[in-house]
Amino acid sequence: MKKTLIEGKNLEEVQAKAVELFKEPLERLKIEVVSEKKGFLGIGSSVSAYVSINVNPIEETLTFLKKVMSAMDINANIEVETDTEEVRYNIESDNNPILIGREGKTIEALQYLARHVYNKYSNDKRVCTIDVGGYKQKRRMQLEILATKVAKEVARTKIEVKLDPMNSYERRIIHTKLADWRDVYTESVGEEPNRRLVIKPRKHN
Amino acid sequence: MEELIRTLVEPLVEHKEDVYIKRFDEDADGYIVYSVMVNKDDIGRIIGKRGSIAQAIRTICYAAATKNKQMVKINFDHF
Repeated sequence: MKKTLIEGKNLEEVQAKAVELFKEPLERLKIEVVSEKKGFLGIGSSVSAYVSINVNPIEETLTFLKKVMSAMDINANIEVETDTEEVRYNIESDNNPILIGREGKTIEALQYLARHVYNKYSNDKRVCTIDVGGYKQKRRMQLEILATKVAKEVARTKIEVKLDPMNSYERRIIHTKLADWRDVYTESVGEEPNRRLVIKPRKHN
Repeated sequence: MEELIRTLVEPLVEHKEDVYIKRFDEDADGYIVYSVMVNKDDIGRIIGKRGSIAQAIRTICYAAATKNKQMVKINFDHF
């Protein structure tokens, strides 16, 4: 959580400054007083406190997603899974194809905005990812199968193969999958959004 | 649609009270145009690096519009 030191004449002033600075209501802020000086008749007194936004980023992002779903008029059930690297939101809805979009474009957009919400309230290193109806999981499996198949072909024929344009996440899956292959290596060429992955044969001396 | 745009835009801006959305009726090509106005300080926050955030907002709205068999365009501007 991001902390800021705020000083004021008394606690009320610190609170008012905090609300102004963070643009959040008082009940969503955490104020830890670090030093308090009593003055005489209210003169010369001072209070300083560390202020941070006291909300759970995971909950906040979940609320955001739920609001988006209801605004889109989609009934959705959202499950949250967390581990040390990721916060995953699995959305299961009555209209998955709309939420996925062409080639997963809508998921990407939703995830991009959700990350902004998540990172606004959090500064841990976990990334926030969104999946709809297991789409990404299936896509990952397909890509791994494709990668293996093409890589075998490249290793056999020694002719490089260019794959279709993919987004960074999908390219990463293939790069990772083929990283420890002895006979081929992978590279990305071109510019977004037409950046494509090339599987090349490795030359042995 | 206004509600959706508001839901998407509000968490990104600092001046929530200045978010103003105006709907224009279908133009000649059948598009409903929404104009989203935000505080001058927030315009960068909703456009993002090379328009990435604006594009993400549009993508989600297009999806919602497709569901309702509409076509929409969204413009972002500041006061």
